[in-house]
Amino acid sequence: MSKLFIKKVFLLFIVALLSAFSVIAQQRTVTGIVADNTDGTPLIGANILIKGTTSGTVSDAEGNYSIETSSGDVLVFSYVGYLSQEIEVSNQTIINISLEQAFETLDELVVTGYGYTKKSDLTGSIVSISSEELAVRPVSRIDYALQAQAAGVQVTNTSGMPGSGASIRIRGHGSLLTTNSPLWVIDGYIGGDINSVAPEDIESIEILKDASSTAIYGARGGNGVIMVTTKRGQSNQNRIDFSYYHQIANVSETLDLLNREEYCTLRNRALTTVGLPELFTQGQINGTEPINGYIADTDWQDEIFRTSHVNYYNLSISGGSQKTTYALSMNHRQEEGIIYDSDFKRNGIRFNMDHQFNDKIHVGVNANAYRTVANGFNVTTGWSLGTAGGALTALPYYPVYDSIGNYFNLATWDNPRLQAEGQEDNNINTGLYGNVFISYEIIKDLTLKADIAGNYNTSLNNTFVTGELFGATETRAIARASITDRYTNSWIGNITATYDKQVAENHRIKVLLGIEQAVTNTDYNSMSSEEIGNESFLWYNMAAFTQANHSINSGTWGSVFQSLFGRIDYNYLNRYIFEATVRRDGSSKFGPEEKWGTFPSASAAWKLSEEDFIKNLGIFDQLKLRLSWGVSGNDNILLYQWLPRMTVGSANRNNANFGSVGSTGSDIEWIGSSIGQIPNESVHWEKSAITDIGLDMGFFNNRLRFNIDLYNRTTSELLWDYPLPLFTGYGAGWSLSEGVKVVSNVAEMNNKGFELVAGADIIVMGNFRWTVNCNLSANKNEVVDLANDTEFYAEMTKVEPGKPIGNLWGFITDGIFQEGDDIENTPRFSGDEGLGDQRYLDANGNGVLTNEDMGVIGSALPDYIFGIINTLSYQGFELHAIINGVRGIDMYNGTRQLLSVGELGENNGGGWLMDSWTPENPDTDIPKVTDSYVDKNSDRFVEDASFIRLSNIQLSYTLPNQLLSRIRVKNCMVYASLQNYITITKYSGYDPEMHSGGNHNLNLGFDRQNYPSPRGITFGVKVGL
Amino acid sequence: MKTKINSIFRTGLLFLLIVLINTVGCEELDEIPPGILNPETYFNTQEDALAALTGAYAGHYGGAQRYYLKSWIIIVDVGSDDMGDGFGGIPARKELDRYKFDPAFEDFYYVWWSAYIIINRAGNVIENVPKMPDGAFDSPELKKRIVAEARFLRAQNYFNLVRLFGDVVFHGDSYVSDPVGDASKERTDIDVIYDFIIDELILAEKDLWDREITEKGRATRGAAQAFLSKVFLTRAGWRLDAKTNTMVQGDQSNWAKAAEWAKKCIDEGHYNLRANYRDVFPAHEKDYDLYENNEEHIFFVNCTLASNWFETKLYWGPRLANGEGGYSSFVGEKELIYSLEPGDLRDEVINLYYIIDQLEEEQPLDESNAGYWWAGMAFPHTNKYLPDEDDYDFPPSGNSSGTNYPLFRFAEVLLIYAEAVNEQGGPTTDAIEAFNRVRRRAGLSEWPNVNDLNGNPYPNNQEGFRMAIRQERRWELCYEGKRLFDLRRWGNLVETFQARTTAPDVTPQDIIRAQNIELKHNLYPIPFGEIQKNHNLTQNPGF
Repeated sequence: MSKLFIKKVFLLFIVALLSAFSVIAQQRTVTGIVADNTDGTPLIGANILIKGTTSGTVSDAEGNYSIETSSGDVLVFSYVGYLSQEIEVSNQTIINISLEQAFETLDELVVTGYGYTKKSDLTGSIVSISSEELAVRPVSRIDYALQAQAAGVQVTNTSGMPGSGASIRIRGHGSLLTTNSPLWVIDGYIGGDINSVAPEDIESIEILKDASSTAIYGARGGNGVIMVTTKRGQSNQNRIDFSYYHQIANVSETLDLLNREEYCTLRNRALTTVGLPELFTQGQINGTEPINGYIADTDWQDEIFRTSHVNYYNLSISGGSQKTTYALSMNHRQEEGIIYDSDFKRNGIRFNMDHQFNDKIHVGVNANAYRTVANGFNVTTGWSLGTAGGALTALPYYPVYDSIGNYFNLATWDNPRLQAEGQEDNNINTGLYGNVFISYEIIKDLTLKADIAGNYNTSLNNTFVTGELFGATETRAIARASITDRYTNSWIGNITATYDKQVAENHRIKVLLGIEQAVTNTDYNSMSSEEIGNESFLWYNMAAFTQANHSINSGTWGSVFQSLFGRIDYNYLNRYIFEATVRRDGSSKFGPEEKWGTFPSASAAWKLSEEDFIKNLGIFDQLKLRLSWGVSGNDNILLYQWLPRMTVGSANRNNANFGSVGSTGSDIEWIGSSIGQIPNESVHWEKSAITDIGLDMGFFNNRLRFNIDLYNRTTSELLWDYPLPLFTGYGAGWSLSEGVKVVSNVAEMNNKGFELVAGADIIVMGNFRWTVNCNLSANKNEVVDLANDTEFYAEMTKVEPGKPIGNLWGFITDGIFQEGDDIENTPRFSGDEGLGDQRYLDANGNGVLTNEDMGVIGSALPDYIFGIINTLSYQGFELHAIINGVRGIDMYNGTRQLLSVGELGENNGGGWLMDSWTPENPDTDIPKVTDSYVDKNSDRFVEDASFIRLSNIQLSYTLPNQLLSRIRVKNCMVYASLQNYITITKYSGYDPEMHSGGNHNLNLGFDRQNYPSPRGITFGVKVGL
Repeated sequence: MKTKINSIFRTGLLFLLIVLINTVGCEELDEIPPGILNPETYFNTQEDALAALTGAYAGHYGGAQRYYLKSWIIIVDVGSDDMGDGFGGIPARKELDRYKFDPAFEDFYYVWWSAYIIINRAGNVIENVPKMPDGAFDSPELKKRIVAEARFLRAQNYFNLVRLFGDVVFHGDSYVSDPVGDASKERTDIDVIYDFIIDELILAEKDLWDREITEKGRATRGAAQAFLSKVFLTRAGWRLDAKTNTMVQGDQSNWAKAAEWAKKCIDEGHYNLRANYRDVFPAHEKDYDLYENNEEHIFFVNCTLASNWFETKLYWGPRLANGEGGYSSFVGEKELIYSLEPGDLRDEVINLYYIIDQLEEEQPLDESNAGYWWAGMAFPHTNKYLPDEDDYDFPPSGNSSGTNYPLFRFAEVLLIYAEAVNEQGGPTTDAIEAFNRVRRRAGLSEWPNVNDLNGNPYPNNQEGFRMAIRQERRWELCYEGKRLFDLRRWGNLVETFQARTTAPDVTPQDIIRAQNIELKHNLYPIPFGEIQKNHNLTQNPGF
């Protein structure tokens, strides 16, 4: 289809667009005052908008406004916390208005895909979060601001590394192999970079949860959609806003480790247990004799953690005339990590402009430039544990510095502090983004809009490892550096036609039709080298490295999307609302047999509260029933999966060495090639179908509000690495989990859930107001089918049909072998286990311990999650407390396992080992320390990772207007806040939120020495001129 | 004024639309970017053919577990009575050492998988290179040689598979072009695969080049001859028949063929024993002629420190008291070490007695030297793969070395010849001379003046010579991945392990192994996951 068709449609649009501009209507100026209806206080900054346009103004410090209108215009007056009012301008020139306080503003507009709708008319499940709600916590990235804000949206902070992102799951886990992250749409730009927007620039965020809302994004909306709308200028209100905050952070938790005396004592005990001589003398244990020439007792956690500082500045200038508005903002963020040598910097400039060319034509521009610099290190590299893990396992008797002041380092051991300081892993992202749009009302009610957006992004990754470090590769004393550059350019162009017609009194029809194309291309090149001449060069002079280990690579990839979409809304009597959407997407990502997919949806809402029989009850201010169904897709598949491909070069050790002919000479490396990829010609998007039923209720003048949603989300045709037997001879022999696989759309998963949102303005007494918004959601996951009834063992979880993902998998412990036990006749892994060793359950009772005895030992999926947001305000004071909680979740504490290794050789252990089994201390659940031991993954390391966290509490004070107006300041607010200060949990690791699963679903619930999370205290000020 | 703005505006709008149309109209949904290699169009030049062949050789280095350089050593040598799992090894490896292993033991997978990867990559060469025009190559002989090398590699890896696992999946002469369709294949009878191996090696032998004119490390004519002798030798011996679960002896006519091919390799004239056993092993790049690919080397996995390295220092190197050194993972069994005859010149190569420290001083590795002696060193360490003494400084400058790993060297050809001839009716002068060449280099007495382990002379007959050859094979070829296969083909795996309870110098490991060893251990289990993924595969008896 389609190329030709698309062109034809285009031509049609052009003809339409180029036809007559200009109908010039009569203009008149309207002025007036906006005030509160109870006490007549003027409302400062109330919005006055000409309905159906974006031109408008805001009221000044006395509540006055002035706006150019044409006869027949309708003015919309709105103010946060008040009900909006619409007044038609006939011949008046003065319109004074008093607004009524609202407890929930149902008339506010909610952004939807390619349009917007009134909140009260929503048929799908969309959560809207305003800039005011976002402003109550200082966050580095907008994803963190979503935590606890919306039911069914699980935001998990998986790393404390500056600049790292959160993992977001909307309505459970929908994919096995590919990302589960939602699609970000930033000012209409699909797949926008979350780092391109500073939190302060955001006007609102909409989270599209159900498929009737996301189907308009077709093959890309399957994991939910998060739409970000940035702030725009407002007519006749020129203002300058400045904000600043400073944050001081520390590690939130440190772990209890062995000190030198404890370690040496236990190490000796471990050796003597197996009949080996002791390693440390009493003097060495006490610290009177040196070990390896040093007397030290280092707390390595102290050596890598620091108090960090964050500075954030934002300056924005906005305003404009009646017809032209603009918003310009600049921001700078400088963030230190709580581990040495990790930091993050972001600079951004944004410019938005709107111009009402005439009453039919509206043009606009958004432009944005940003640069982020994340400077860190690999938290876990190679076989070394990296900085965070290294600090936990480093032996306490090693000093930080040697006698001449250099970092102390051994041949087989890396100094954790040096791992932070001696490694660089810099990511520099530079983005330029711009879009222009024009909308044109061809005839009354029919508007055409054309929008073209371009995005250019360079991503540079530079790494360096000092030669003093052992980690990451097998060769020590060789400095290594690498550079990887990626250049991505993407274009999205779309044309939409919107017809919005009120037919007679009771029918309103809205039709949207659109076409779109998105093109993305990425080029990359990389190089790496070893054995640097002068380490201070870092990666800046690779020619100064020995030539032998140079390696270079380059490549290009790209994808094209072509789409057609449409939506019909029909509203009858303002009571019955129907909506249907369809999108047809074609993508180069999909195999030749499955290039195009269609994504339909339908939804309906019944505003019961508009029916007389409900009105007569006098109970409900709002009662709305929503029903929706839809299908959307997840296209996050690797490119070119449908092509068979050869791999050439050293990747996966493809090369071999041969000596030269004759005699003299050394081996020469020959380039090898092999078939790398088994193609699948029908590879395509994953399909996510969601049925949703919802009920919205409001009581007592909407002071008490409930939203309940039930959903059933089936994700089918999930991509799965269909595992083939290894004897097919493919793959690289690299790792068994990699195996020989063909990516196929074969698996299916189901998520069923329940979401409850409750909001109440508990106290409204004069100036004192207390509002609580809570949400709670529960989701039940089940893997319906994997290919061929296979099971899959991820690192710590087992995935099998009929069970949820995230099932932790391991052996079941059965106490410790005690005096009097019949050890000889108890199944053991080897003959060595004896008194004081861990005893495991022979679950199948066959007399031997094998992998068959492993079972489910925990679940990494929560029973339910919740968020509670409290807002208390009194005069100028406001207190916001955000609580988020996760209940009924388990974590495999790999860190504790690492620190419980009985073989206390190179590794330090946890302080709890002091309570390990000895003949004198048999009543313990910690096995004896020993030098030869069998380590199995078992329930011993599974912990309840439920938590309730006061993730942010902020107290702010807004200075009184009377005071400020004298110094010509519009507003000024100061605040202080605490981040992550209180966490109630039984989890013993750094942080119950920190699992290494990241964006993948197969390694959920595994704590593996991550970068721990900071807790911070923030002081800030916001000034408006 | 208004009209002027309007016309500017119209122009701007038109421009915008042109940009839009250019963006939307002209892209294809099935575009393939440049830089992607497609196998169907891949084979064009001689370099392409050689690269595809190199890819097959590269399988010898394996993935994470390094095939020949690690997994192979574990299942073949730790799984024999020559080598133990040393200090701080992973539990599963300990279990293998004790013969109480699980069919899901990862090194079974890695050897199995790596062998099939080479078989498939070689199959790709055999399938596609003959279709290329002769003109694409420097000479028609080169084209033939490339195919012959691929045949050699494929045969060599099938040989590994059948010796380890018995009946295995067999892809015949084609490469696996439809892996999904082939995923449900059944096992093929071992004799069918053996016949194929022999045919392939004979085909390869015709087209392979001499050692003198082939790049070092590649399969040569001599290598094909040596492998043929080994295949026949193995086929003549015992094996566990999975169908009947009994030990069966091979066709005795294979002895003659084994001797014939060994003789061909000896007479080839390109190979000889190095005068000094030390010079066979301490491969180091600085003395290329002396150490690497010398005339005793028939087929080695060629490693270099720059890319495809061998983690000798890490796994074979001793752990020292200060925590430095290697992991002491691959260590010798005391029984082997103590069995060496006094005066055996191989002793100081087979065993590591001292290291050279940073001050270039010899540091003996015994309990008297507390600065270096570590509990883990109670195990014997071998010096076979550690780099030359001059370079084995501590702390080592890395974990790896460019040492080559031997798959076939000339000493084994001599011993195969001696054995194959002897099995046909007793020693001949030629056979005795082949045997004595090995003894002579070791500085030991020559047949018939050879004593058994108890110091009594072996009887000068077929049985006596057989016993002497078997003992000599163990010493000469220890830690080279030969012993387990020898015990299996001699049919005495179980009794040899069981006898270890009474011999001197037994370790607790030996005793546990003696208790666990069974007839079924003459084959390893088919890796568990393969049966999981393909229910048509049967498991070997007892697993």
